[in-house]
Amino acid sequence: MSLTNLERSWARAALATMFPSGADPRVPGADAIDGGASLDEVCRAVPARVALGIRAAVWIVTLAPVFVLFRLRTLAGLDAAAREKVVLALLSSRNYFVRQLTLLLKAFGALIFVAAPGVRRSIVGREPLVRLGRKEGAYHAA
Amino acid sequence: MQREDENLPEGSVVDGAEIARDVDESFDFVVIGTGAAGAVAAHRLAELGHGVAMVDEEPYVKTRDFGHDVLSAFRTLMRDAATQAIEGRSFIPLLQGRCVGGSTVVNSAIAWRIPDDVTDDWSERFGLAGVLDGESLAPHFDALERDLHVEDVHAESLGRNNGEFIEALRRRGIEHHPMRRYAPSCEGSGRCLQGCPSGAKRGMNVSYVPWALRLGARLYASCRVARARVEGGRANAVEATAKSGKRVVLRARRGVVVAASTIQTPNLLRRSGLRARALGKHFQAHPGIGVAGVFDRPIQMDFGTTQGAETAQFRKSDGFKVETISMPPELLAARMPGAGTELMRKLGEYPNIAVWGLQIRSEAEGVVKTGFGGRDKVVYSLGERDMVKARKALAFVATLMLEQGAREIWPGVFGAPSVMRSMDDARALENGPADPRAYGFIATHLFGAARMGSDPRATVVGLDFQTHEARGLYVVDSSIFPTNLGVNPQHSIMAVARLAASRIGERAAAAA
Repeated sequence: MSLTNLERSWARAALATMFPSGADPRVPGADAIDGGASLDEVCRAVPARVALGIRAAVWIVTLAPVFVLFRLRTLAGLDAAAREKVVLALLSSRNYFVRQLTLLLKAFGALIFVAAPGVRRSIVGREPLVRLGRKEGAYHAA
Repeated sequence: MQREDENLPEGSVVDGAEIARDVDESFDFVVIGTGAAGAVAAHRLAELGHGVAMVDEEPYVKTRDFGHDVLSAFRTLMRDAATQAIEGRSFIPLLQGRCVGGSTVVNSAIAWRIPDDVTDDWSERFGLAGVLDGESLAPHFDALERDLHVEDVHAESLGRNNGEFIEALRRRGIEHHPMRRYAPSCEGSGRCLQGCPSGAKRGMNVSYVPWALRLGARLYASCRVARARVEGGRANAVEATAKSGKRVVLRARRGVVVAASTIQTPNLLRRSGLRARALGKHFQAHPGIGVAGVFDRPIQMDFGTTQGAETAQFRKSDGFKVETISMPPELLAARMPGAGTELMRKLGEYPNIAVWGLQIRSEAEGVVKTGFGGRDKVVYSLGERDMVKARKALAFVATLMLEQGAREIWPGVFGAPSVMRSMDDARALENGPADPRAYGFIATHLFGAARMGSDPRATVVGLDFQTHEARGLYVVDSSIFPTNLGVNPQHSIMAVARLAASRIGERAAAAA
């Protein structure tokens, strides 16, 4: 199952809200990746029922401003602060399914985002030790 | 150094994606599954001189092909790209390997022998004395430990996540120890969950599978088993479909050995025509939760054994075990509180974050069913007593982290503060929500669903590892365990499989 072009653009906005640029100098944001295309790839790799869940999550997050802020906008139509408010509200929703679906999107967003070139290194603060072919002590001594 | 999964004997691995015509071959035994149980059983049968075929629905991913990131590991090594979930009162992610080697490719290779209180219980309540008791299993544990060089985690590969945990327990005077593992030359890459990049972890993919192949066994990878063929009350073949679409029939002169795991075995037996009332029932697990803490000093979870230290002091008294679990940033990000600016700041703290976890010996039982479209479905909900154990364990881990100097902790409990800094808050977790939906449980250790016992009305597999309903159809994985263990099960699964294969193989040789 794959995402439509519209859903991809919604997914991109959702992931850029969850993992924004400029929040911390140590961590680049999801702007660095095409979250929509990557999520589309994930949807094609996972079982259909999971892809359906991801798709539902994209719709919920996109249309949530109507129910959370009572504003007739999609998530992408809001400013950064309002977007974040909406996503946080969904992650702490009293409705278990809404909470879990948003968490599912966040989880895959995290997997996609950290897998992007350079992001892991920025977060961890160094190259993978095994790739360097040396142990930690040697790394620090180098 | 040459890796064990390279330079395998010519023709020993048949890749189902490349099978160009229907296959019909004969062996003494056909073993379904290549995880902890299947690989060990196949190797033991081959060692006893039998002709063995192993069949696995997934490909043989070599160490050289393991990716660096979790997403690619999930997609290539985990069942359903790690999106399986137990359904019940809450959704509990269910992690299983999906490659030759099974979950041993993506777990931490922890070696715990079945505790005596468990085998005593099995003897008393299920009549397994002389079958699966401490004395019978001991030589098999010994052999496995010799073969795989089981050792305590070395100080130089321990890393700080494990080191801080040990220090915290030492201060409180609580029993603790480094894990015993099958990873004698672990480099501490912290990547047990993504497939060990150096091959130091002795998963089945780099141990018993290649060893069995070198003894003459053959592996049919990427071949999905439809059923064991049972004719005249006897299993005599395995029918599978190769990834290429071709039909694969593997005839078994002496028996079919099922080791497809607790989740897949019951449905495979159903597809093979078994109808035992107990089939699929009594599923058990060890649900676990991780707690993250931010320290003012570097922890660097990217270095050190993924799971390197533990305490089992509370296993019997309170029904839980506590251990470390180093998480890569992408997994931790999914568990971190919030989203947006707050989440990114927290991610920036990654080098200073530690994660310790708990697993409970739950009492709840679930059911393994066949779901829509033939998929494997597990229905299971934690009970009230399980939640008491979980909350107590959570409060223990949370207070331990704060005592060790964590500036804040993230317990991940819906309805409780997402960030805690005080001991009072941490202690209050013991009285947290009783609803399992408030917690982020994960299930990795799975048991039951094709229980062993002498009563065909209450069990599926007899004391000779043969199903009550079909002769020559053996089950040797953790689906036969009558209960869960309260400790990490891989070692026990392997020992039971080795014992079973020894008995099955010796009996077959004597009858020949």
